[in-house]
Amino acid sequence: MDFSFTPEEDRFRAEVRQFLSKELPSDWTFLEDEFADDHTRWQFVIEFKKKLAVKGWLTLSWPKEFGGVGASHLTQTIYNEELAYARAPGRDIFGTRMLGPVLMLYGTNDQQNQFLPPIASGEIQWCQGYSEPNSGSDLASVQLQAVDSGDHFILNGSKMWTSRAHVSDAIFLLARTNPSAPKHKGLSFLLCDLASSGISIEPIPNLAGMHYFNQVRFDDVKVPKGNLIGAKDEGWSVATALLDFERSGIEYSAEAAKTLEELTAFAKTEKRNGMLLSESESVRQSFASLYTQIEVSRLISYRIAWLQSTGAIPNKEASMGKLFGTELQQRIAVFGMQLLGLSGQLTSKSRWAPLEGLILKQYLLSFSTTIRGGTSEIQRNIIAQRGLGLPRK
Amino acid sequence: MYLDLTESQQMLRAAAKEFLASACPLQVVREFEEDPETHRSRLWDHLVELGWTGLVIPEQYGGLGGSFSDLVVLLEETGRALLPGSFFSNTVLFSLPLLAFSSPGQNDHLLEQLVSGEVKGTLAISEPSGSYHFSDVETRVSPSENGFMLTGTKMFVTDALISDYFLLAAVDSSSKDNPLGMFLVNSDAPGMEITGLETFTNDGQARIKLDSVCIPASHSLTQVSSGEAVLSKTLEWASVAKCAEMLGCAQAILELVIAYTKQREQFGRPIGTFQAIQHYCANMATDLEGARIVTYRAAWKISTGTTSEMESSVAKSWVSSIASRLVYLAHQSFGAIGFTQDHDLQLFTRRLKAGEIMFGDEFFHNSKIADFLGL
Ligand SMILES: Cc1cc2nc3c(=O)[nH]c(=O)nc-3n(C[C@H](O)[C@H](O)[C@H](O)COP(=O)(O)OP(=O)(O)OC[C@H]3O[C@@H](n4cnc5c(N)ncnc54)[C@H](O)[C@@H]3O)c2cc1C
Repeated sequence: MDFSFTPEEDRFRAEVRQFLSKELPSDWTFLEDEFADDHTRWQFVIEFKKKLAVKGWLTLSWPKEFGGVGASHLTQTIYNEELAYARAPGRDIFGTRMLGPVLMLYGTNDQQNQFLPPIASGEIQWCQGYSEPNSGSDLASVQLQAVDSGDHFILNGSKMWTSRAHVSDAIFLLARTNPSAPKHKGLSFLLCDLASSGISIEPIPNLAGMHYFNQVRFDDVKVPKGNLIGAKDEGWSVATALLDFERSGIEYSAEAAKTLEELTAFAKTEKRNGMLLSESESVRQSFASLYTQIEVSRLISYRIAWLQSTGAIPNKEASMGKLFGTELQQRIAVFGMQLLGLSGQLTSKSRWAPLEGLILKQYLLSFSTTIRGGTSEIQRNIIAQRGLGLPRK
Repeated sequence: MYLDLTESQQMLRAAAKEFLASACPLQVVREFEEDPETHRSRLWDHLVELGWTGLVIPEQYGGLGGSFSDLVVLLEETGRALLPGSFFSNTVLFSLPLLAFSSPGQNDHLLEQLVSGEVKGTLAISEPSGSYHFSDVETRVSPSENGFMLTGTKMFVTDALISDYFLLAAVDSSSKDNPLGMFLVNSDAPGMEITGLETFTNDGQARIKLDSVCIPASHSLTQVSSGEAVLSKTLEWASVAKCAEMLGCAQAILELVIAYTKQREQFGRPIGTFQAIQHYCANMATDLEGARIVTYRAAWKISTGTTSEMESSVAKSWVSSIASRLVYLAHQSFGAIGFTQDHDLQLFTRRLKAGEIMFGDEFFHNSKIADFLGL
C-alpha cells in the first residue's frame, strides 16, 4: 500500500489552501447551515462560489466533455477536504455533485446543454426535493403528484426539509407520475423553476435557530415535459444513480480536525482547579481518542476516494464513512461542550462566548448530521444487507 | 496513493491462508492451549520451510528481505487462524530489533540461525509492575569481567520457555545520561530461572528471575543506538504487528457471527434478519474497516522509514478500543452457545482481549498521542 499523495496532488492542495486564506475573510466563522440565514452573507457565498467556478474548481471532477477539469476522485477529495477544513462556502453539493452527474448519465444533449453550464459557472443554485412530510427514509413512497397534461406536467403536493430552497433558483424533484404502479415504478425525476407560479416556500426554523430548510408547496405548478430527466416512471433509477459522484465523506473528518485544533488551543490556555485543562489526564485521553477517530474517519474517506478512482463503487464503505463520520462529529460536539463548561451556553452573540460560540452551534447542529442524507440506521441496514449479505427476510 | 495489497502480498496471503487452513485448524489451537509442553515446537519446521522465519530478514542472511508491510499481511492471517507458538515473538520481538540495531557484523551468524529456525528469541521488558514505561524497568546491569552482569525479575515474557535468547532491558544506575540498556541473554546462562505463568490464553508467557547473570560485552545491543531508541522502536513495531494479528482475529469473529446469524432461526426466521443483529454486524464491520486502514497506514509508515510513532499509537489505540466492543457484540449475537468452552468463539475472544492488553492498551497509547498533540 502507498498512502502518499503525488507531488502534483500536494501542489494542488497547497494552491487551494492559499486561495482560501487569501479570499476568505479572517473572521469568517460561519457554518454551512447558516450561510443562507441572511441576505448579505448569502451574496458573499454566491460571489465566492463564482470565484471557485472561475478556477474551474466547482466542476473539478466533471469530465472534460461536460466542461469539467476531469480531475480524479482523489483530487476532488483533497479539494473537498481543504474547503471543509477552512469552513469555506461554495461547496455546491446539490448542483455539482448531485444533479450534474445525473444529467450526464440520463439527460438528453439538449438538457445537458441547457442545465450543465449554469451549474458549472455557479450561476444557478439548485436544491433537492426528495423528502416529503410523509416520506423520509422510505423515499420511494413520495406522493408529490405529477399529472401528464400534454406538453407539461401539473404538480400538486409538497416537499419537506428542502435545504436552501429559499435562496435557490430551481429544484430537482422526485414525483409520482403513476399512482397505480408499485411504489418504485411510478416515479419520475423532474426539474422545476422555483419562480413558477403556484410554488410557495415556507421556512422551517431549526433547533439551532437557523433558517436552513423549508417546506415547498406545489399548487397546480406547470413543469414542461422537456424537464423530465430519463424516462417517465423511471425516476427511481435516476434518483439513485448518484453513485459516481465523489462521496468519500472527507468533510466529516476535515471539519472535526479543525474543531479539535481549536479545542486544543482552548485547553492549553484555560485553567480549572489550578491547572490547565490540557494537563488533566482525562482531558488528554479524550483528545487522543478523538484525534484517533478523526484519523480513522479520514483514512476511511481516502480509501473510498481511492476505490472510486479505480472505477469501483464502494457502497458499503461510503455508508461506513457517513455513519462513522457523523457519529464522530456528535462525540466531538459533546466533548467540546463538556470542555467549555458553563461558558458553553453562550451563543455567538455574546461577547464572552469562547471560540465565538462555535462549539455551541456545532453541538446544536450535530443532531441533524446522523439524520440528513440517509439516517445512521439506514446506513447500518445498507452495510448489513448489501455489504455483509445478511438476509432481509 | 495505492490502497490495496501488492501482487506479491496477495500471493503471500493466499499461500498463508492455504497453509494455515490445513496445518492449523482450531483443533490444533485447542491442543496447544491444553498442553503447551507437548505441542510447543509443532508446526515450527513448516514455518521455516515456508520461509516465514526469514520473511523480514535480508537475503544476505538467507531470508526473503520482505518489508514490515509484508509482515503485517502475514500476521493478519496468523491472527485469523490463531496460530499458536512463537512465530510472533521470534519475528517481531526478536528478529526485527536484532536486525535493526546490531552493529555491522555483530549478529550475522545469529540472524542466519534465526532464518534457518535453529534458534529462537524473544523480548523481555516488562517486570512485575506490568508496565511498558521505560522508567519502570528495575532490572539492574553492572559491568563485570569481560562484560555485564544482570540481576532482576522479568514478567510476561512471551515464549520464554522455548526461546534460546532474550532481548532484555536493564538499567545501569551508575550511568547518568543513558541508563537504559538492551542486552542479548542466553536462556541457559547460569543464574536464570524461568517459570511459566498461568494466563487466560495459556500462551506460554513466563517469569524470568536473573541472579547475577553474566553476559559478554558483545551482547549489548546499544552499540549503535541508545537503549531507549531500541526499546521504543521495538515496542512500536510490536504494537502495530499486534494490531495486524488482532485485525485477522476480529475479522474471523465477524465472519463467525455472520455465518451463524444467517442460519440460526428464532420466531420462524434467521436471527440475521432482525435489525438489532444487523446493526451489531454493521457496527463491527465499520469498526473493522477503520482498524484495517489505520493499521496498514502505520505499517506503511514503518516500511518507508518515516517518523511513525504517532501513527502507530493511533493504530494500537483504535484497534484496542474496537476489539473490546467487538467481542461483546459477537457474544450477544450468539446467545448462550457462544458462552461455552466447546464453541470456537471463546478461543478468539480471549486472544483478542490478550492482544488488546499487549504492547500498550488504548489508555497507554492515548497518553502518548496526547503528548504528540502537545497536550
Ligand atoms: C438538516 C437537514 C437537511 C435536509 N435537507 C434535505 C433536502 O435538502 N432535501 C431533501 O429531500 N431532504 C432533506 N432532508 C431530509 C432527510 O433526507 C430526511 O430527514 C431523512 O431521509 C430521514 O427521514 P425522516 O426525517 O422523515 O425520518 P424517518 O424516516 O421518519 O425516520 C425516523 C427514525 O426512524 C428510523 N427508521 C426509518 N426507517 C427505518 C428502517 N427501515 N430501519 C431502521 N430505522 C428506520 C430512522 O433511522 C430514524 O431514526 C434534510 C434533513 C435534515 C435534518
